Amino acid sequence: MNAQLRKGFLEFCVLASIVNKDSYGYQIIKDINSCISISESTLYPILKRLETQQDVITYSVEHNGRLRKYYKITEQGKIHLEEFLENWKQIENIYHFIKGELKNE
Amino acid sequence: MNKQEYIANLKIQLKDEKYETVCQVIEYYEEIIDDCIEEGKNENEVINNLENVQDVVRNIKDDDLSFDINPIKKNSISYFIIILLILGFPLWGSLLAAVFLLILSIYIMIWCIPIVTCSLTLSSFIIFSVGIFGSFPLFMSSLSLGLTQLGVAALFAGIGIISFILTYISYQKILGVSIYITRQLKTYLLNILRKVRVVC
Repeated sequence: MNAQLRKGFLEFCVLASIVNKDSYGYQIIKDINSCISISESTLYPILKRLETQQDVITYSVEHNGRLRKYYKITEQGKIHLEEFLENWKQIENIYHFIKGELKNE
Repeated sequence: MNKQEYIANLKIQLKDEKYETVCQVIEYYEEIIDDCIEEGKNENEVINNLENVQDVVRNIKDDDLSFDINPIKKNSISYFIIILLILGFPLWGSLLAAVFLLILSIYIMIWCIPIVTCSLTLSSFIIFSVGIFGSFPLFMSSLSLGLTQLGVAALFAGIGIISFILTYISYQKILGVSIYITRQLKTYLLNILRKVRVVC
């Protein structure tokens, strides 16, 4: 998959993985890996970008004598996720257009 | 390579980055490694499964993301605050010393229990040994005195066994409590130091 496209999809995958329950780095990787492979070093910049965009907020919780950073989706993050789903129809149209053009070649 | 070596290597590779960036990356990787180990994976296996440090740093640097997530205001600790801290030392210094001594006294107080039972065990076994061996010459002079000494020695043997068991139980429980208190204190202090950006 194209790197930029993949990055975009991964952002929404990360948002989707924390929409129902706040989660932490390792759990997010495990959840997303069932759908699309992601490494630790790929996730890090995505999380930071989402944090900068204020799509997620973070907080730390003590776990077994250490701190674990949790990511929580914001209202803005939820809106972005819904927008992505709404835009999907347009992406499908693009897909069918490209596919059709290739067939007619 | 183990966790410490991997993190140390990561720190070296990130030496050109800002202090806050290094802290954030290190925290992130430490957490991932700890979570993997907690899941039952072997430390070396976890490190081997991670990307090599050079690739990690390249991935992070190549990303178009600006690293300034929460830009810290430079010179956030102004001279005014430093002067206030120095002038206020008699106040906050004594309070800090009081807190430190209070924590120390809590440790001493809880550790008194196994120390007392341990001393009781030792003294009981000394009395028991002296009593047993001392009773034989006493038997020669007086049967009643010899029997009394033997009885006292047996009594202290019993006290010694009970206090030994108490020492063992209290030692384990208090060790657990001490570790818990120390961990809580460490986490609390680390949180404070992280907030003021003294440590990662």
